[in-house]
Amino acid sequence: MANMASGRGRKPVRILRVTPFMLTTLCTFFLLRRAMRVLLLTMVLHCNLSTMSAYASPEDSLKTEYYRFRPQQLLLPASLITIGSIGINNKMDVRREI
Amino acid sequence: MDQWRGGKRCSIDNGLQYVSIAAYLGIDFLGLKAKHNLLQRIASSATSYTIMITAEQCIKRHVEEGRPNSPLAFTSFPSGHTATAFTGAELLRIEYGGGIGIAAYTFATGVAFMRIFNDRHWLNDVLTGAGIGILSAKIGQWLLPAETRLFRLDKAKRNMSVTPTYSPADNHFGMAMSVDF
Repeated sequence: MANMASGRGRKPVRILRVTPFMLTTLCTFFLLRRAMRVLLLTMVLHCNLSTMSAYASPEDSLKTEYYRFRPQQLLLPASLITIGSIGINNKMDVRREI
Repeated sequence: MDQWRGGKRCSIDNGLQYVSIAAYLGIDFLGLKAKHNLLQRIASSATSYTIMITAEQCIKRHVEEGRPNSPLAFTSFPSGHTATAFTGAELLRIEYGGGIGIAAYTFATGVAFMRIFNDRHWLNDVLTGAGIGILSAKIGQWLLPAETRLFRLDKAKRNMSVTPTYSPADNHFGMAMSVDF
């Protein structure tokens, strides 16, 4: 009874001593977790925004470009056909030139 | 030219004329980005070649110019080989841009040169053939939007699945295919 009253029968309680090393490690861990969360959130937001921008202008990204008519496109073929046609009556024999 | 050729003839231009159109239809399988899908390319090339062959044959029958090597064959003007090569070259240039276009035009010019080298055509024949080829390719490309709307060539990719089947009991192989259209 006397022992119990004096507290000798209890297990000794270890007091967690906070060392500077432990404090630094904990701070780094929490900071890294925050940084990872921010990084992850940024990535998710970036993906969402990219998807939204892709859906926002579907015509721009999926539209096929066609070859439109312009009068100057006729210049080269018309010149070649004209020069070749002139040569029907005045044969352009390349063998004679060489 | 006769002395330079030394009496030899090279018939490689008979095959070379089709290289550019084969490249136009299939070069995107090698990784190059094409502006149009395969169906559109088939449609534009079919239109271009139909126009080119029709024009070339009509003019050949109408003009009846004798060939340099055999004056009794009156099918010299214009050169069909050159027209075929230049149609493909112009289609390639429009589809894949300047770099491929320059290479294709160099190739087509080589075909035209071979026609004169082999004494099959006069110079004016290959010039007109080149003009007809380029013009036909341009007309084919101008008509492509109308063909696309008419035949729905730009429809999104169709879902297709192919499933091979095997029955061990009777040792039969088979295949099941489903296509959304």
